[in-house]
Amino acid sequence: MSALERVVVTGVGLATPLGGSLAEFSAALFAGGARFEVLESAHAGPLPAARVSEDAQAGLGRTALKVSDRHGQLALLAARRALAMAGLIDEPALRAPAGTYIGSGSGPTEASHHAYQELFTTGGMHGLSLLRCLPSGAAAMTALHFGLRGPNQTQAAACASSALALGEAVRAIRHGYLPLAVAGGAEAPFGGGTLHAWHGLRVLAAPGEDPGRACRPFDRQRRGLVLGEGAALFVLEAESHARARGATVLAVIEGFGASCDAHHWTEPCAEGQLQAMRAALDDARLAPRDVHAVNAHGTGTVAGDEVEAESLSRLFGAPASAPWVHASKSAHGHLLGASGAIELATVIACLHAGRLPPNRNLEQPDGAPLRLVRDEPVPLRADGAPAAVMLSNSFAFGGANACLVVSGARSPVSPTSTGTASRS
Amino acid sequence: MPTPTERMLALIAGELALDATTLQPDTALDDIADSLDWAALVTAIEREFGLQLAPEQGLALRRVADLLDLVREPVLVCA
Repeated sequence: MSALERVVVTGVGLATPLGGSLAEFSAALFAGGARFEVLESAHAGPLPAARVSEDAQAGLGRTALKVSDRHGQLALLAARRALAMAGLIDEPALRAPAGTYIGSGSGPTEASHHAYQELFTTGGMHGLSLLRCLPSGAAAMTALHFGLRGPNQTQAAACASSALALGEAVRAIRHGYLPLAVAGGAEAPFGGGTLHAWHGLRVLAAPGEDPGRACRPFDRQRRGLVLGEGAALFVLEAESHARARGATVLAVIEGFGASCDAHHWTEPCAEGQLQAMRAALDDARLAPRDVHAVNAHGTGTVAGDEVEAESLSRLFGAPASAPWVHASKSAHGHLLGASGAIELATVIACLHAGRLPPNRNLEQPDGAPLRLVRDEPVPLRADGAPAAVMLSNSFAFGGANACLVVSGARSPVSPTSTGTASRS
Repeated sequence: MPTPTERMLALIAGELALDATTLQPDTALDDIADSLDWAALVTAIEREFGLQLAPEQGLALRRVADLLDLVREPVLVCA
């Protein structure tokens, strides 16, 4: 049997409410999260939102500006940073074989809103509207700008989009189709029509007096999710390829699993979530006891958190022996299709720090049987060993589920066919 | 009120992010516009001036002067 490649992360590129570098992101995550703001929307009233503060258009040439939407611009910014971190920004030949796998739930919302608004008010639209409104715009722009000639794919599966994109990139690399890929997600959902559409589903939290306190995963007072924007892209490589060129390995994608609830448009289903998590662990050749922490999907909706708590407790058992659970959307917002990607950055930040930050706004846990991080950061491993394994969940409207299993750069976790307990 | 010629020059400059004063009648369109620019420019011209350009008409437009000719009012000559 030919050996399958191990897939490693060699570059992390971010344009997020928590910042634009892994260091900045990690510092902000452990300092309590991003500053949320109140967005005054024309049709949906005031909404809490997590926005990217830097100028996504800075440095873009005229061609990029004339055909791109904000989600593509954020992706480009993140891709540049990921490639730079991986040592590939000045290596066009080395990066040319890379595939591009980007997930986005809504794609070009601002360009679409503007184009249709122009059409309905003037009877016409800009000549490049079709290109600006391409759902695959972020992936196209990234590949075009950086000369990435591998497969170019866009995943659109609502909140599971970027986790699926990452997973498919992992599979392509693992099975030898590609030596490397730029993969992740981008989302810029603040086009007017999109906000109105989200408001209609009645799943958004109200801003309250402090929008930063609106997203409250697993808290008794949770009332909905907070929309966020941003992009997180990663350079994924075959480990042999990374080692051969002397790249720094930042993390290992040990496994990927996916499923569909086939249950309801918006109501999550524990069975479907369990299927995805078990598939990811099987793919990683790990058992639940090998997982040290979970970055939950944890949107802060009443139903979503309840069902995920059920699926996590069924998988991992009683809290006393279960992994820690962290839900990072209260720190950076719900980036929808890009949530899996920004949460991979969260996972990598936690793996590098060897600890988890407390769940922001978790003041009154709702009693779910989970080992939730509260009040103070906790070490990932009680024994203080440097390497750990985390699981990251992404569960979507429409029932798509995706799960990634990630370890630190040097993981001592071995297959548990011996039944040896690995979590300490 | 700007003349049709002035409106056309302003439109070209706006779409292509150019200084209108740099546009000369003999300026080749290929030198200032790529294929994406051209698609945007043609749509904008059609909307601004109420024109409908057939594909073969578009192919015949090579210089800025050709675009100006689309909107230049004919001179009435008294016989």
